[in-house]
Amino acid sequence: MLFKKKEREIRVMQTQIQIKGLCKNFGKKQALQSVDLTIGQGMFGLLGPNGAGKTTLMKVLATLLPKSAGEVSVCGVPVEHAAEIRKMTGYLPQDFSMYGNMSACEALDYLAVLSGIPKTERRKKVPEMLEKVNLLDQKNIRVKAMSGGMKRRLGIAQAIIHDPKVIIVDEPTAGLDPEERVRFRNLLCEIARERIVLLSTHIVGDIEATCEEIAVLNHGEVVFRGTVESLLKLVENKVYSAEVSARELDGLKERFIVTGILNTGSTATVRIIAESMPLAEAKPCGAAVEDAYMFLMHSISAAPGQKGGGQA
Amino acid sequence: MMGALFLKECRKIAKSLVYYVYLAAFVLFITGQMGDVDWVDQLSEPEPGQESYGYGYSSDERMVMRSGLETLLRELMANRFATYPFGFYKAVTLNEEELEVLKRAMEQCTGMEFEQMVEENNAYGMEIYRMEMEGSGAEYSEAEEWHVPLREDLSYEEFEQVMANVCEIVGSGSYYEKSRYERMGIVDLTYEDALENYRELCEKDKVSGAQMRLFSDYACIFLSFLPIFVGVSACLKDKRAKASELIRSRSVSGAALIGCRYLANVVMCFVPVLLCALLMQMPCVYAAGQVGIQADILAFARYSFLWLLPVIMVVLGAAFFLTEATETIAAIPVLAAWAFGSVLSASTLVGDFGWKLVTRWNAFGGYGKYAGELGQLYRNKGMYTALAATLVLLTVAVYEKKRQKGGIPYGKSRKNNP
Repeated sequence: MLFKKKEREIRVMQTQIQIKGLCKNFGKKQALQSVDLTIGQGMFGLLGPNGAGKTTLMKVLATLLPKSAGEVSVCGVPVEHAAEIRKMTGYLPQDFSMYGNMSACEALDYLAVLSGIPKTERRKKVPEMLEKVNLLDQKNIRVKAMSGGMKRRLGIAQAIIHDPKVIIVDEPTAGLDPEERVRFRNLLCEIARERIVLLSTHIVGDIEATCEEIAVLNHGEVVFRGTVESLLKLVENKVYSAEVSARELDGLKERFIVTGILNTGSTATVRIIAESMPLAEAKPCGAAVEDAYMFLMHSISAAPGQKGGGQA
Repeated sequence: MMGALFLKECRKIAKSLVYYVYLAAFVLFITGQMGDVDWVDQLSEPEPGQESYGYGYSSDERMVMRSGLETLLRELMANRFATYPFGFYKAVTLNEEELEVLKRAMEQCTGMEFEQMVEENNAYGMEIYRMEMEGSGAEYSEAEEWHVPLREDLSYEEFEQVMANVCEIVGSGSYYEKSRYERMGIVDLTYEDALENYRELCEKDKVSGAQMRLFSDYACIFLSFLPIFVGVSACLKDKRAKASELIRSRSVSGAALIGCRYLANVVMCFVPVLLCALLMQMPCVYAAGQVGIQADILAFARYSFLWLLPVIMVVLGAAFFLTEATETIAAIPVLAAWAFGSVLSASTLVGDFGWKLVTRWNAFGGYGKYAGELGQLYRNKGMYTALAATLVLLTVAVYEKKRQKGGIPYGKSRKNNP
C-alpha cells in the first residue's frame, strides 16, 4: 500500500513542473521575483502584459537562461541538469526562425538530428510531424518563403518531434490571422493531451480557448494562479453594458474600467467593470476572461504589492 | 548521430555563397600561380658544356662572409640600413656611437682600418666607373663591385657572432639576420651542381614532390587567409538566421555540435585543395613518365596533408573561437593581420619554416635543403595542429558557457547575470 502511494507520488512528480521562489535578475532589474508555481499535465496558460517576465520564465525552464535564485524542477529533474531537461522539453521561441535556405523537411530533419533522433526514426517521424502540422504538401518550401503561420506550424513540429514531456511555447499566435490562430490553438490542445504544454501569451482569447489552468504575471510576480473559472469569479456580477452618449465616454473611462466601446453614431455601447451598478441605464452582463484580466491588472496597479485572487 | 550531423553541416556549407567564393578564389589563384611555373625544362638531364646551369646559393663560408661584409660596408658608408620588419621596407639611420660599433665590427672581420677600407673602395669604385666609361666591358663584368678583404683567421662562428651584434643594432629584418646573409653568396651553378640537383629531383623528389612543394607554397598563402571567411560565416549562421536559441535548446552537446561543424568546415575547405593538387600533379606525372622518370603519384596527398591541412585547421579553429566568443566578425581583421604578417615577415621564400603560419618553398626542387629542414616543418605543423585542437576545445567551452549564461559570456550578458 505504502509502495503504491510512493509510486503514484513519483509518477505525479514526473509530469509536473515545480517552481519555488524563482528569481531572475538582469543587473539591477528583477525580471522574476519569488515565483512559485506548480504546473501539471495539460495546457497551462501564462498571461501577462509585455515585459511581465513570461519569456524570461520560459527561458529559465528551457535552460536558456540561468536562474538567480530559487528551485525549479521539470518532471523531477532540477533545471541545473540542463542536458536532461533539454531531452524532455520542446521549445518554440517567440520568433521562431531557421536557416532560410533550408526546406521545411530539411529544417525539421536537422533539428531532429540535434535532438539525437536516429536516422530510421527520423525517416518516419519527419513526414509524420509535417502531416500533423499540415505542412506535408509544402515540405519542400524554403523557410524564408514561408508565411508566419507556416513557420509557427513548423515551429511546433520541431518542438514535438522528439516526443518531449514538456512543451514550452512562447507567444505562438502573435501576428497570425484569426483562422491560423484557431488552427494553431487546436493543434496545441491536441498535443497537450499527452504532455505539459506551457503557453505564454498576452492574447487573452488564446488562454480562454485552450487553458484550464492559468497564471498571470506582472512585473515578474505571479499575481494570479488558478483556473479560468476562478479568474472569472473575480468579476462575477461586476460587468455591465450601457448605451451612453459619446460625450460621456471620457468621464466613464476615468471612473470605471471600460473593456469595450462600440460606437453607433452619436452614442456608444460600452462594457464596464464596476463594483456596483455604474449607471442607471446599465445592464448586468456575462463576464469574459478579458474582463477578469483587465480587472485584475487594474486592481494591482491601483494597489501595488497586492496579489490577485484565485489560488495565487 | 555524429555522422548524420557532420553530413548535414557539410550540406549547409555546400549551400553557402561564401563557400563558392572561396572555391572560385582558390581555383583562380592556384591555377594563375602554378600556370607560370616552367618545370618541364627541368626534366631534361644537364649536359656538359652548356652555356649556363642556372644559379644557386653558395655554401662556401668565406663567400658568405665576404658577401655579408660587403653589404655591411656599403650600408655603413651611406649610413642607410635597409630593414624589412613585417615585410615592409624601413630605412634605418644610426647615430655616431652605433656607427662606431659597426666600424669596429668591420675592422674585426677584415683586419683593416675602416677609413683605409673606405678609401680603397672609393678608389676601386672610381676605377670601375672609369672602366664603364671607357667601355671595357669584359674587364667591368669581371670586376667585383666591392673590395672587402677577409681576415685570414676569421672563423665562421666569429663572423656569426659579429653579425648577431650588428643585427641587434640595426634591427630585425635587416640583411644581418642569419637567414638573410646565408643567401647573399649567389654563384653560378657548375655542371656537377646541376647534375646533382637533377638527380635529387628525379630520385628523391620524383618530380611531383618538387611540384607539390611549390603548390603547397602558393596554396599555403591562400589558405592562411580565405578559410577565415568560411569559418566566420559558419559560426554566425545561427545568429543571422535568428536560430541560436532554438539550436541551444536542443539536447545535442556543445562538443558534438561544434566538433561536427568544425570538422565539416575543415573537410569542405580541404577536399577542393586535395583535388586541385591531384589535378595539377597529373600533367607532371605524365611529363615525367614521358622522359622515363617514375613520379611519386601520392605526393599530392602527402604534401597537402602535411603542409596545408594544419593551416586550414588552425585558421578555422581560430575563426571559430573568435567568432563564438565575440559573435562578431572580429576574427576577420585579427586573422587577416596574422596571415599577412606571416607572409610579409618571411626572410626567405625557400625554407626557414620556424613557427610561421605560412611556410614558404617558392622553388622547384631543392630537396637536399628541404630534407635538412623537414624536422622544423614537422614541428611547425605539429604545433599548429595542436593549437587548432586547443582552439576547438576552447570554442566548445565558450559555446557551453553561452548556453548556461544565455548569451556571450561577458559584456552585456555578464551585466545581465550578476
